[in-house]
Amino acid sequence: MARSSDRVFLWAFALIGGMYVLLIGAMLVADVLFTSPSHVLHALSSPEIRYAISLSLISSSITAILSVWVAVPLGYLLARRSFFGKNFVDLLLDIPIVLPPLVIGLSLLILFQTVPGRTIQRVVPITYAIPSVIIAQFTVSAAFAVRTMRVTFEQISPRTEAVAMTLGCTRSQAFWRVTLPEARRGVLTAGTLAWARALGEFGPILIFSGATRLKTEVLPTTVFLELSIGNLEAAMAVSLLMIGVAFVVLWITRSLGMRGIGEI
Amino acid sequence: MKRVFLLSLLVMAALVFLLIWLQRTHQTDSKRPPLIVYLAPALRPAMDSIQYDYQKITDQPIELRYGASNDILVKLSLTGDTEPGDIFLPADDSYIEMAREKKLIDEVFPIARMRAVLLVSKGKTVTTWDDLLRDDLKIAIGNHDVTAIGKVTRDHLKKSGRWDQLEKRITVSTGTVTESANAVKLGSVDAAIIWDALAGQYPDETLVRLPELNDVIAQIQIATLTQSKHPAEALEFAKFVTSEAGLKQFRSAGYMVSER
Repeated sequence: MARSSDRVFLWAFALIGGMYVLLIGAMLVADVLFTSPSHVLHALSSPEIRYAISLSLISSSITAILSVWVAVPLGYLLARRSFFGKNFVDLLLDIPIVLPPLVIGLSLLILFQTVPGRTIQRVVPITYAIPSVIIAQFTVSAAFAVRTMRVTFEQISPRTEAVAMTLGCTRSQAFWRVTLPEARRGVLTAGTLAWARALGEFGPILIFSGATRLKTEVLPTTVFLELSIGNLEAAMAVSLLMIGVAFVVLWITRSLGMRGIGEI
Repeated sequence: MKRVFLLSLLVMAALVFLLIWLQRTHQTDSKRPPLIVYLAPALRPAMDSIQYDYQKITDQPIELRYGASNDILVKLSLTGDTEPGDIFLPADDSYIEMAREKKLIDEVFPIARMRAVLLVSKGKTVTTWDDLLRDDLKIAIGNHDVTAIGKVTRDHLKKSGRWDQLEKRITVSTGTVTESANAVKLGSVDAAIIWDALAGQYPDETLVRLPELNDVIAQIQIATLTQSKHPAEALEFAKFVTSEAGLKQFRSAGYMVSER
């Protein structure tokens, strides 16, 4: 039987945490009440918005995979190895998280006007084109994925990897066969976090990619364009679509991922 | 786990293929390079129709790149060499002046005139200047450093000696004039000073014309850019926008178009 002090402790935690959950729930209810199904259907009937949904989903998925590809090696090195300039690299990785989004967009715009940037653009157009959407999303999302993977590798004991190496594995084999399978949950979290972050990214995209319909328009851009003409109901309908799409994708990904880990 | 990595490579390849397909299906068939038009998103109701009409008549693709007017100015300065724009259509003429100072402007054509009005939230009664100064009202106006509505209103009211009265009553300065209007629509403020051209987009709110704001006027102008690689085509498009065919779209969007 639980002691009364335990119950108070748990209720206090539930109350504090519940306030945040309530805030998110209340926001969603307010959003739903502000718009109507007809606004959502009207938004879905627009070819521009359907394009924005497709581009958002595809670009966010590409960004999530790219982020995980970068986050796994970088997170591993930061967690397991000491090297010259590690603290500086660590600080540098926080910059996309702390910088205002508009500054990231502006910095990317400036970067691709430099000589190396222009050279790349002679081969692949980046600025104001679809690749710029992915680069803008990736710049921010990867930072979150790297942080997640670093913590994941830090929490995994290096002993199992060391044992594998004493049994004849190379470091690479030990990583692929022992460490990475142990980090699967972290990889999944990093991927979904990067995906969700990319889906909601707006500031850098507005500056670096522009807001061109049927070209670089993603769902947050649609919300911006609708707000700009005072069409708050449509903006809210698109926001709800975004929440719905994100909810379904994240739920499926987490369910499948957790099943692979053996938790469901 | 190597199989998972290989799977991620396959998924990535499929996503890139989908992206290329998405891009191809929305490209225009025209062989002509698109005219790049940088414009304020508030002008979308008129410009989307004009783009459609012009492309239908001339087969000249028009790429409308929306953005806040000051952001556009930054982009025009930064990417003028690699990604030159052809046309600039900002929210008001103050940005044309700023662009002119940066030597970005070639030719300018007037489209419409805008006058400052009061947008009042449903259920609130504000009909006179004295009403506006009531203690129980929350008022929004665009920031006078970054928006034309804020700057022109402040300059005019300073001359008439009313700015100090109003400044004390302002609850919030917003980054754009549309944000002020949206705040009225949401009910987070009771009234906002906005351009009359925008008021048509807020049919549920009340538009009040105050004599004290009658001389707070700005213009919407379209400009061809010196950095344009297609000056003749840009000029042709600017003339179409300011022709009767273009102006009727602005008129139906609620703008007071400049008389020919």
